[in-house]
Amino acid sequence: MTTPAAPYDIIALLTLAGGIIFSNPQLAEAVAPHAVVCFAALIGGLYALSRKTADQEMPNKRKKSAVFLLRIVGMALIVTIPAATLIAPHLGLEESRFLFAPLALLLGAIGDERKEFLEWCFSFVMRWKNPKQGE
Amino acid sequence: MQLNPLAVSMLNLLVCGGIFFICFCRVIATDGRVLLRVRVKFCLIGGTAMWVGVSPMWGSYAGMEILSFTSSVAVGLLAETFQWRHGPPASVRVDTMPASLRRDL
Repeated sequence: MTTPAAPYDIIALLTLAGGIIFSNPQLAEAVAPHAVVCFAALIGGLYALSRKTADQEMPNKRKKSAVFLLRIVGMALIVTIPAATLIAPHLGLEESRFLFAPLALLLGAIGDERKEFLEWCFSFVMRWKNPKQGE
Repeated sequence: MQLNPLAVSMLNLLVCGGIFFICFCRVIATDGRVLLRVRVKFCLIGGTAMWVGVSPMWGSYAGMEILSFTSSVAVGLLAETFQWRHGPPASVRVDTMPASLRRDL
């Protein structure tokens, strides 16, 4: 019996590589929660990127933006699952996985503006507690 | 003709990668002066395109329906390339919009 010839066209090669990477159920099970966090943080990170001042003449804008996205997604991958595990009992949730996507989206959307976000939260809480002082 | 689902998924991954790149380039060309709904549109399209592209990782293979839809989205984004060649067009910027039509969202 002759062995089949190795694939030479790009689609067949990608299919072979994909079959190796994508058909492992154990990998899929381990990756799934992190994938949710990754893509939610990606959407949030894109929104944070869209808020930044657009300097059309900035050199290496795409590279800097890609590094920003990687940084945001990396931070979300590290912080989201532990934070969701800590927060879930206080919200009365039995499983923390329901918080993965919203928390990752929020962390991504905040981006680098953590100080401004905390100031906004503080002023929101103060206005909520003392509505008359806000008028 | 029955196509290999993994081959269709790989093609879909390439198309979704293209969609993400287009949305990424448009997002970095925008800032707070662009309508919020336009910025959110590109964030959602770009993020979910990558989600759909790598979905075979958890056993959700793309069929021809998904591939044709993502290809249509890619063509739709490419069709606007001429308007976005110098950054956000005037129709999506709050500062260049006529006062009667101005909406911050």
